[in-house]
Amino acid sequence: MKQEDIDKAKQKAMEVLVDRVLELPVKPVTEVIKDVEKKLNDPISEAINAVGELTTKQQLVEVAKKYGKTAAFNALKKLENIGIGVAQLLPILGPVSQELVDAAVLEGATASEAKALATGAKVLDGGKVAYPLSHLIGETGAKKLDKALKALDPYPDLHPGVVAAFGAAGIVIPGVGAIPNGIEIAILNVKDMKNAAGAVKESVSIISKSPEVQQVKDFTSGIIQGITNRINRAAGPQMGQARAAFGVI
Amino acid sequence: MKKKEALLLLLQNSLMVSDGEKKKIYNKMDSLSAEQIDALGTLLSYEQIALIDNKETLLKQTQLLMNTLELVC
Repeated sequence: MKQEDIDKAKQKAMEVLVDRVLELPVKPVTEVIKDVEKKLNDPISEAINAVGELTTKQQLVEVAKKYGKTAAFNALKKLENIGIGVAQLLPILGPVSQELVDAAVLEGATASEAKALATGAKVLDGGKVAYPLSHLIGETGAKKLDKALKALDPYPDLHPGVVAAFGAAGIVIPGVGAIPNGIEIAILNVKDMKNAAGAVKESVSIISKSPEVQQVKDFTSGIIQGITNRINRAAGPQMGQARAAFGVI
Repeated sequence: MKKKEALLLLLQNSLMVSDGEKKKIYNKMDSLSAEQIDALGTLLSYEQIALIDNKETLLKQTQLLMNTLELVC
C-alpha cells in the first residue's frame, strides 16, 4: 500500500472520529432531570427541583455543594457528557459504594445487576450498564475481552465504562499530526461510549487494512501516549497551582 | 493563580469534558458566577487528582481496550 493510501486511510479515520463526536447527543438538562425524577421516585427530589431550571450541565455540579455527594452523583450520572466523569471520580468517592449501586439502578439496571456492577462482578444478562463494551464489540469480542481481563487480573473496582472512555479519549493518530484539542474526545455515558468506541474500532479497522501492521501499533501507542501526556500534565506544577486555586491539593 | 485562569487550565487538561462542552464553557466563561467557577473548578480538580492517582490503571486498561479492539477488527 502506498503511503498516500495510508494517509488517506488515516484521514478517513480522523473524519470518522470527528463525525461521531459531532453526532453525540445532548439532552436538555430539564429532560434529564425529569427522567431522573421519574426513576428515583423522590429520594433526591429536593436536589432535582433545585436544578430543574438550570440550562447548562455544568451548573449541576452546584448540587454537590448544596445537597451532598449522593444527590449530586445521581444527578450527574444521568448527564450525557458528564456521566463518565463521575465514573472517573469513583476512586475518589471510594471503592464499591451504595452510591454506585444507586447510580446503576438509576441507569436502568436491576438491583442485582447494580450490585454486581458495583463490585466489579460480571453481569451476563441485561448488561446495558455492566457491560457496555459487549455492545460495542459484539459477542465474540466480549469473549475475547473477558478472557483478556481474566488473564490480566484487572482492577475490579474500576467501572468497565472507564475503559471505553479512556480508550477513546485523547486520541492521536501519528502521521496526521496530533488530533488537536478540537477532537479530544471525552466519552461519556453508555450511549456515547458506543459511538466513540465504535469510532475507534472503525478507525482501527480502516488502518488495519493496511499491510503495514506498524500503522495499527502506532495508532494504539498514539492513544496511550495522548492519555499519558495528559496524566503527566495533571501531575505537573502548573496544574497543581490550578487545583490549589480551588483548594484541592 | 486566578480562578478563571486555573479553570481554563483544568478544562484544557480534562478528559471527562468533551470538546464541545469545553467550547460552551469557554464561551460562557465571562458570565459564570463565582460559585459556578468554584463548583466546576473543584470538580475538574478532583478529576485531575483521579488521573494522577490511577495513572497506571488507566493506561493498562486503555491498552487492554485497544488490544481487544484490534483483535476484534
